[in-house]
This record gives sequence, structure tokens and C-alpha cells, in this order.
Amino acid sequence: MKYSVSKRISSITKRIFGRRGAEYYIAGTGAAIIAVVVLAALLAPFIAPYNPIKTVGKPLTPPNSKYIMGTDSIGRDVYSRILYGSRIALTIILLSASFSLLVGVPLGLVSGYIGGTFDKLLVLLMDSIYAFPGLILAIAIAHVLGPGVVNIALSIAVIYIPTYFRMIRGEVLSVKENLYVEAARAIGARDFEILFRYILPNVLPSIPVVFSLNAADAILVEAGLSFLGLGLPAPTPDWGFDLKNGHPYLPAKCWWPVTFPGLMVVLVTLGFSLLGEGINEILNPQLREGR
Amino acid sequence: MSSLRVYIVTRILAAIPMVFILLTIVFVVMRVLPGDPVAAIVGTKAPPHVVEALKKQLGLDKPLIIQYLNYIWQLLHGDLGRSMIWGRRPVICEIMDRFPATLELSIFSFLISVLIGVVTGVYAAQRFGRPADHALRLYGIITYSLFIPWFGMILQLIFGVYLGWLPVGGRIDTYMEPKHITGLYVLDSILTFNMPSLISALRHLALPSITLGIYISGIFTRIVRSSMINVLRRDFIRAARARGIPERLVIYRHALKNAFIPVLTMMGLQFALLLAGAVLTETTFSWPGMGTLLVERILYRDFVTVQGTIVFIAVLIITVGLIVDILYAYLDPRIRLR
Repeated sequence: MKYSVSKRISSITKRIFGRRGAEYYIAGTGAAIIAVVVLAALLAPFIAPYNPIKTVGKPLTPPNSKYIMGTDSIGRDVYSRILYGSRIALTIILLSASFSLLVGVPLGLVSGYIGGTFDKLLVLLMDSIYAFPGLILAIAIAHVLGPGVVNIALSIAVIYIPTYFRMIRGEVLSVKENLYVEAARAIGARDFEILFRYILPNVLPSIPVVFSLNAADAILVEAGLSFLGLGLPAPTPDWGFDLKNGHPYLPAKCWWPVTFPGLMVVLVTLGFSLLGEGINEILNPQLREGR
Repeated sequence: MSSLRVYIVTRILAAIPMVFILLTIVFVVMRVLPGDPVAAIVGTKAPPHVVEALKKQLGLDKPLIIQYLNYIWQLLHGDLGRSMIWGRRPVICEIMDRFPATLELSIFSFLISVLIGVVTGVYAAQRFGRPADHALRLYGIITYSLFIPWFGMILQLIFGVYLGWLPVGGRIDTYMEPKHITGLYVLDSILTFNMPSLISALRHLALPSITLGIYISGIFTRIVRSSMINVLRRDFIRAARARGIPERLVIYRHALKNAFIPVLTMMGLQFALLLAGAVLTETTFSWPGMGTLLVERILYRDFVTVQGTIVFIAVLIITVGLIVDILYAYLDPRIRLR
């Protein structure tokens, strides 16, 4: 068992480092973007020139040598707020994606393995959540739960549980037909053991792709929630919230308070999308054919 | 009975449990989750007698199971309750005031996204594996990564603020509303031959529908591309080319017709994305639709309208899914026989 996992990992690394096709550049670009944002988040206290929640200059100063991205409507430094904003964004992405993974994967495993009525009901429930517009469900949940990092993360997590569930369940259905599962059962392995020692390791490789694409979506939903005023409370540096704050000053040609935070949202989403797409094509070469 | 009719009936029957599950999810989210609608309405520091009175008014003092049965019973009668502000209008009236605006925005965004998606998807499939194909794949990823409010604001900045070509908010200029027939301003203006209204309505529609349309177009580019690549490999395409039929006709008449069936199913799924995107687009462009209704009433703490709007959206999603499936079965007889 251990052997098969390590072999799998080594074959993946060989595929990643062995040759270079377009998909390696796609994944690499994505990873590089994420790395830069993670660095910005970690180093924010050292590289941010000003306190992100204090008025440090004249309101709505255009970008200049003192404030490289200008100041917002109450004179806070846009650049410093963006740097600190990446901390909030990454925290919520990580929390929410982990929540969905930790709930969706076990549910998918058990549901696919057990089958029967339990499986049917769960599939119906998950399909219903999946069919619902994610952002609107998150709005409803965030509205009821109230503001807070964990609450926002939970509202986003709920809408992506079905994504993990469907993917894992589908894989379990095909993996459990394999001969080695039957062999394990024949030598008297218990269900729990079969699930976690024989099936789980074989469905694990698909998780990074889903995780990455989920993270890309989660940041859009998080920024959307805070843009609509359902995010974190006021002085917190948050990209979506800054976009909402800068919006009224657009007619006065103040482009900088909205352009930069919005660009960060798009950049992070793009990073995770590219990474997910790239890995997906590296693992499933037939996708490149466009089938 | 014809196989199509059998299919329609079974498909409608299959949608019923889905409706109940979605309604239950909304109920659980709005009433069972920790977090209290009463606190969401009056705040946590309200005096106890106010809280009690409000609970009674909303029926929240009863046991959950009774609340649930009441909720379902009311919904079966099409009763979404009464709004908690401004003369307590029935929620269904509030929604119907706003729904045409959302519908109009959705239709135009959808047309734009399908148009862009088909043209780029077909082009990418023709240039399979070449630079144009890679560039369009990147286009697909980038458009999907766009943050709607940001993209909308950039368009507002360019076309509204700097160039001054297009209005950046609202549905139509003041006093320009056409006579109310369907509530869709473009259609109403055409029906009443009201040229100035039509132009005003289209000008207001331009930026929001382009924003939402481009956001969704990347998905269509991808589906049309992969579907076309499959079709272009088939024998009947080779046969058509061998017969000397011009390439344009082969692509758009022979191939696209066959490539469109998988695209159609995806269209149904994209409707949910379209609605979610509409909430952000409407807020960015002060578009008076259901999305702004939802957001507005959340800020006013109008619990009943928020719940009603979400229920309405749930039913809408299922209805559209149903229509798309039936259309699909109508176009592709193999589906009905499965």
C-alpha cells in the first residue's frame, strides 16, 4: 500500500519535472502568483509603508512617490491596505476550502462506499445545494450567522461541499470495483479499513485540483460578500470592502481606490485557476485533446 | 403517449423532491442555523417585549416543526408573506416589481455570452493546438477569474467617466419608462414604437450586460471549443469537405448544429451562475432588480423579503433546469429513451 502511494507520488513528480508542455507553464504561473501573494501576506507588517487602518494623508490623493497606490476616501494608504487585505483573503480561502474538504471528502467516501438509500438521499441533497447559485446561498448564510472571519468562511464552505462530495463519490464508485478491494475484503478487512487504507489513497490525487479551483471561486465569493456589505466589520482591510468604499468616487475620476484592490482579487483568483487547470491537465493528459 | 410526453412528466415528477429539498435548505439556513432572525432584525440589544412581539408576529414563537409546516403550507399557496417595511406590501409583489429588470439583464448578458462563446469557441477549435487556440483558452480562464464589481467599475470608468459614452447606472433615463406591458423595457418600447425609450433602455443595458456577458462567455468558449473539436473529427465533416462544400458552411451549418447539444445542457447550469453574477452586477450598476432587492432588504433587516426572494430564486432555478432538460430531450430523441 505504502509502495503504491510513493510510486504514485514519484510518477507525479516525474510528470511535473520530466518534461515541459504548456500545462506546466500554466501551473507554474499560477503557483508563482500565489507565492507572491502569500509572501505579501506574510511580510505585510514589514513592507507596508503605513498603518492600514489609520488616516495617513489627504483623502483621495492620486498615486505618487509617497503613496504609490494613492489614498482612499478617508486618507488611508491603498497599498498598505492591499497588503494587509491579502492576509484576510488568504485566511478565509484556506479556512473555507479546508472546511469543505473536511466535510465533503468523508461524506463522499462513505456515501459512495455504502450506497443504498443513504447515498441516494445525500446525492439529492448535494445536487440541490450544487444547483443553487453559490453566492446567493452564501449571502443567506452570512446574513443569518453575522459577521466574523469564521462565519464568512463557513458560509462559503457550505456551497463547495457538494463539489468535493460529487468528485470523491464518483471516484469511490469506480475504485471500489477494483480487484484489490475485493481481495482485501476476502482476507477479512473491515469496511473502515477498506475505506481508509485501500480506497482513500487512490482518490487523493484528484483533491489538489478541486482544492485549487475551489479556492479560486472562494475568493470571488468572499470579495463578493464584502462588496455587498456582508463581510467583515468596517476598518478591516478587505479587498471587496475597499471596492465598495471606492465606488462612489468613480465619477470624480478617482480610479485608484477601486482598481488596485479589485486587481488583487482577480490576480489571486487567476493564480488558483491557473494552478488548478495546470495540475488537472498534467494528471489527465487526455484533457488536452479537448475531449 | 409519445416518448417525449412521458419524459416531460417523469422529469416534472423528479423536480418535486428537489423543490422540497431546496425549500428546506432555505428554511434551515434562515431559521435553524445559530444566529437569530429576530436579532438580525432589531439587533441584540432590543428590549425583551419587542423581541417577543416580533417573534409572535413572524410565528417564530412556535416549535420548529410547526414553523416548517406553516412555511411549506404558505409557499404551496404562493404566499411569501408580507414585507416588514414600507406599508408591508406582499413580498411576491415586491419581487414581481423587480423580476423583469433581472430577467432583461439576464437575457442580454446571456445573448452576449453565447455570441462571444460560439464565435471564439469555433475559432479555437479550427485553430486547435495553435497559438490562437492557446490564447482563447487563456481568455476562458481569465474571464472566469474576473471579479464582476471590479470589471464593471473599470468599464464604468472607461466608457462612463472618461469617454462619457454610456450611463453607469439605472435602467432608463428619468421619465422615459415605456408603457408597462411586460416590464421588460426593451420589449415594451418596441411594442409601443417608443424609439427614445428603446435607445435609452439599450444604452443603460449596455455596460451591465457586457460585464456579466463577458464574465460568463469564457465558459461557453470552452464548451463550444471542446464540443466542436469532437465534431470536426467525425466522418460526416470529412464527407462534407470532400463534397467541396465551403469551409464556412461546413463549420457553421454542419458542425455547429451537432456541437450545440452539449452546449445547451451547460446553458441550463450557467443560469445559476448568471443569477449569482446578476446580484453583483445589479449592485455595481444600481440596476433595480432582484439582486439589489435582496441586498437592500438585508441591510434593512427585512427578514421576510430576504427569505421570500431566496425561495423565489430556488424555484426559478428548478424551473429553468426543467425547461432546458425538456428542450434537450426535444432536440435529441436519444435522451428521452434513456
